[in-house]
Amino acid sequence: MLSVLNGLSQSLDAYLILSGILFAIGSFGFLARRNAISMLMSIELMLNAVNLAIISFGAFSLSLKVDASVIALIVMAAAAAEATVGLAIVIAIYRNKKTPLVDEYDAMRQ
Amino acid sequence: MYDLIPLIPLLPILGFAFTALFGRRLMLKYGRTAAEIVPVGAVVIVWLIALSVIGPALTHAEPFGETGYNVKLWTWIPAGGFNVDLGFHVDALTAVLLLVVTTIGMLVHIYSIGYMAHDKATWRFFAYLNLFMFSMLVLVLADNWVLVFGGWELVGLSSYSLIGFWYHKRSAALAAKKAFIVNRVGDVGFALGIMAIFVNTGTLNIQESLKILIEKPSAELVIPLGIVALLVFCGAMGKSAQFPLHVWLPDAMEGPTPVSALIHAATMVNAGVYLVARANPLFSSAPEAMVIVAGVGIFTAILAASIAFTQTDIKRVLAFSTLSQLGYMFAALGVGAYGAAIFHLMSHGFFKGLLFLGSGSVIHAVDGEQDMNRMGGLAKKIPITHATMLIGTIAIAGIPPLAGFFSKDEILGEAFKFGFYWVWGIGVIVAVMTAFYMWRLMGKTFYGESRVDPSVAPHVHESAWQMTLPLVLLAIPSIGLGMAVGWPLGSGALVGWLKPIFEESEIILARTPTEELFGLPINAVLVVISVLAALVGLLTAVYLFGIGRRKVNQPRIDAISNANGATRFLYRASLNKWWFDELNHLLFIRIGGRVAAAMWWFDRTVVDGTVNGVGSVTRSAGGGLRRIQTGRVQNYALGIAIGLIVMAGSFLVIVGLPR
Amino acid sequence: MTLPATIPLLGFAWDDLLFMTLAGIMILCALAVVGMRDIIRSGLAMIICFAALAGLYVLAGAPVVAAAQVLVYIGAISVLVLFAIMLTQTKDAPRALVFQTQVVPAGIASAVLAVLIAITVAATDWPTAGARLWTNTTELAKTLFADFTLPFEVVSVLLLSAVIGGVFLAKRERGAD
Repeated sequence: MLSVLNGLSQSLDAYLILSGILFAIGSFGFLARRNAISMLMSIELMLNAVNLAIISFGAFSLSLKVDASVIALIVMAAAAAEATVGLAIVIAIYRNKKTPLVDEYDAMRQ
Repeated sequence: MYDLIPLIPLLPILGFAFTALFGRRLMLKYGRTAAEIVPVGAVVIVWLIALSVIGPALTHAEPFGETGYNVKLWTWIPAGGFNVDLGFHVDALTAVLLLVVTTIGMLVHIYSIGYMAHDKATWRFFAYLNLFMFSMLVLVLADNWVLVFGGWELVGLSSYSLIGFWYHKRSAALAAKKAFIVNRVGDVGFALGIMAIFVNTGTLNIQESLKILIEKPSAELVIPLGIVALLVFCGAMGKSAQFPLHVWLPDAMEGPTPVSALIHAATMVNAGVYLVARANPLFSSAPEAMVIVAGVGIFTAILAASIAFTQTDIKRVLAFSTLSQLGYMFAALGVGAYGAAIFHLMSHGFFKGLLFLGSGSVIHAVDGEQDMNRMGGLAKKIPITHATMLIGTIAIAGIPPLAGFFSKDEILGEAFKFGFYWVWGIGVIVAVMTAFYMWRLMGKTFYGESRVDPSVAPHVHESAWQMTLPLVLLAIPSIGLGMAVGWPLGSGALVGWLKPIFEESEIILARTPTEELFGLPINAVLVVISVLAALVGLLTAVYLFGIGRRKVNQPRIDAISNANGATRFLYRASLNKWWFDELNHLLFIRIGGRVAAAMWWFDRTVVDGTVNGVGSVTRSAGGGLRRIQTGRVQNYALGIAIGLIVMAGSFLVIVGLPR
Repeated sequence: MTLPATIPLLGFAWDDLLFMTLAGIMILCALAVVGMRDIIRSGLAMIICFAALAGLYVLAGAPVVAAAQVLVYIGAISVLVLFAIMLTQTKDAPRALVFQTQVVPAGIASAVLAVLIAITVAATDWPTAGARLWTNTTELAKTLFADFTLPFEVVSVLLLSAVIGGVFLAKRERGAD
């Protein structure tokens, strides 16, 4: 009955769909959460989804085998840089606005 | 040694930059000498460099030769077939101009130390003076039309800044504006002329383009030579203040006197003469343009001389005299006597510079008074100024053996020999008038009883050495220049030096001068006539305005100025400068104002209406759309997400699933 | 002792079980990250999510990336996020509304996005090698430090400038407050 699940870990489609789900969850968090830090965490989720997709391609394609890992590592480094700067910005804004809630940041409207 | 040529314009611009940036601080901290030393020093060094170049360039020594020496620094604007080099061309003609510009420029800088000693912003004055020197030297040295035009506009700019140097004085600010705008009219013509030259020849190098212009068969030229020549002449008319663009020069006397001497008598106003002389093959190939040049020149000469008769402001008399002398030069250019025009340019530069600086010294002595009716009897009190101005007056009047006699006589002589009898005839009349109004100036200023304001009279004093030294130094060429380079008449040293420059024109014009008149050598006859003319003018003025202690013949003057009929008309015309300012006012302010008002109405209702309509539509649309601009990041991000979905979804729908 | 090739009763391979377990943990934790009211719990859920991902990387044959995932995300970024939470936490924050007013459209958009991706993935005929490939660490090191030297260095510069920028931004201005 459950044999449809057989070979799931051997299928590229499974990994990619998983990555897509993770990306969609991240994007939902980014669009819907009020807290700036939650939004940043959602961004991390999306980045990880992308990384998962890259790794999966590497796992199932001979020509990408090594390159995929390299790209994933570089994405990770870029994500780390992004997190550093993003969190610093959140802290700086928090100091001025006294709130972490994004919908009260409306400087772009003025 | 000749690698130093680029330094000639470079030093003044560095001096300008330095003085403009640091002059004020230096002056406040260390006194005015500190601010003056750099700009004056720069010009003195430039003068020394120029002297080392001028000698060999005039005598066609190597590396100048007969064709001149080119210094190409770099290509300024490379654009396909359109190339503008930054380069200099030095030949005998350049050398003459260099001599005039650097020598008088240097003397005026020294003079200004004394003249501007009480001004609060001396540093600014010297900065502008250096900027002017740079511009004028670029204009003179440039080897291509665009660079000439650059210098041309820059002299206009520095002239504007210097006329309006005392900008808090309304008349000065207005005069500066007038000079700038009137010059602009001519400059448009010059710019069009340069474009026409480029269209015709495909090059902007002066020497090359002139060569092509005269060698190309006229059928192959896109724009006829006559029109090109007239466009270039337009620029010359503006800069050299020829009728009808002469109105700015008298007003330009609102600037400080050293400026009037340097820019509005000795150098910048000569730029037009230089330009026409530089383009002489072009003009020689367009005889109809030549006639216009001669006509405009000689008309300006007599018009300005007639106005100078009645002016009472000492600087304005000199300004009209400058106009008149420039008219002489253009008349000479028009009859094809290029060498004579350049000769007169040179000698006029020296003696008119002298006269202006002298008038500055007079004005300085009587505490800023410029009205000659409130001078008189100054000869004893300011002896050096008096002596040097007397030399200048005799020089300009054309009494041998001073400089003016040689150059003026060469112009009149060549006009006659080449068959332009009308130019010669009017020229002789102008010579009489010149001698008359110049002695009128001398008589009213230096002789007779003193009419100086009693409160000023005790303080009248000779100026400082910085001011008298340039006067004395300028008196030397005013006396000796003619004998040095203009003797014997018609074949002096200068003629030989400039011969290669005007050789092409000689060939094109192919004229044979008349050599005899009534069986006598023509030179002798003409010399006698011009000397007589000068003497007539001079003696009449001496009779009316006195000499030494002899009083002004006031009843006789009153009789003339109060006479009826034609004399009265002429007197009033002269006094009112032939109503040119009024005519311009009527044409451009009244009638032009009406046209402008109509334009304004059109602009306000039709153009503005359209624009405002578009504006209000946009505004209300924006007001509606404003609602979706919440200023919240996440709303925008949702927009991005929806956009992504729409694009990806439509891609899938349109392209279809891959299978 | 050796395990049977497939799991008894369920009828599929051990690898598949591992995959499903990790994927389930990951998705649940991810939902917790975006859905928890208390932001500190969100952060902790994120750590578990990252750990599960690391496991998936191993399963996909990229052990080095998995190690880096543990080091960078669990070790560094999570700590950073927790610090930021600590610094910006206000008392009323947990009580405040968790979601924006646009939560419904956002949810729909995200769901559509997921479906779109799934359809695209399923519909595409990927040219695959057929089986998972194991990335050799030696091979990876050679590629990273020989072929990708320049990007590697550029990334190090990027990280450095991000660190400096972060310090500058978060630094309290002297005299402020």
